[in-house]
Amino acid sequence: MKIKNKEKLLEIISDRKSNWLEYAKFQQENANWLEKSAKIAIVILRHLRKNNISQIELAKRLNVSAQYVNKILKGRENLSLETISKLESALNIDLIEIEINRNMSEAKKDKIVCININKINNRISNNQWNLFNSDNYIFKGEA
Amino acid sequence: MKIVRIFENTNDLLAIKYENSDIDVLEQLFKSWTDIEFIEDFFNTNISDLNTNYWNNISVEEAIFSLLEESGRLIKMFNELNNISYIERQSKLKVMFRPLDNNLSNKYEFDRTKVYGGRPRNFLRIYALKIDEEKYIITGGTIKLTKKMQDRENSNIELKNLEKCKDFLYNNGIVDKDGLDEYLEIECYED
Repeated sequence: MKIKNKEKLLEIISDRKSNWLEYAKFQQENANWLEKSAKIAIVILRHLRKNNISQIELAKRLNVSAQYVNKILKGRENLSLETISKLESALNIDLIEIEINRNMSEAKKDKIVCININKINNRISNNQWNLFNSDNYIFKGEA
Repeated sequence: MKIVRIFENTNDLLAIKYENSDIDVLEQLFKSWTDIEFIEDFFNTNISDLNTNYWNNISVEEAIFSLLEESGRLIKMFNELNNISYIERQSKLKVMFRPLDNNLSNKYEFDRTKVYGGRPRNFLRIYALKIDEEKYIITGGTIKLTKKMQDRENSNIELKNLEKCKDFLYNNGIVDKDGLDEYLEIECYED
């Protein structure tokens, strides 16, 4: 197609900005925790579907609004450990587990594991992420 | 129907904002393709398409992960396009966008073109019209589950959107009726 009237095109182009860039930058800058939030959302969604539990029912069990549950399930929520634990209790599933070796020399084997994700990741790719350093331990997550 | 700029102060890449939406199609696609609830529901609804040799009988969970990897790559690609010069971007856009049909012929009135990325098969597609050598208008995108766009409603709608947008440009005196119409597609592979 050839442009017949450039001025007409310029007239029709909106002054209003697209917000794609703001959203895309946020996604890329926060990729680490968004990935974890997404994985938790996937596990919960599949569990709800398989057990015929509605989002409203889950909200009741957690004593939160349905809107908040929906935010979690979109995989965009920066979940606290407390919220993750409450989700585990409400659904009677394990979302994450921390295994710590008491022997310091075995510290490199310490890990945080996403229980339900392991089987899926074995078929796709191996993901590794470093979480945080404390004074005495290095926690290294492996999926 | 409105047209918005994707990159500030340049008209090389534009996108449609349809009347029934508050946001343009590119922003809409990035939001949908990172929305776990939406993606899970989509694959669950279309599970019969995943349970085929075409998709190697992957599970819904595997499909979700694959799609999230793809959307991450697309988002990264667009972020990178934003950080380069107009001239560098022009060469990249020419490579990114590829014809929709592989069987090109000058005898056909409309010439449909495509943008590609590395694994054997990807889910995500972004569609665009090419007007002039240096301008592209994104008309929509979809999670493509079948070889032919016409075989599923969600991808067939995108074919209709390409036509609708082309008509919009003709009817507003922006493009000429003569010459080939170029319909394009982006698909983003791993490096």
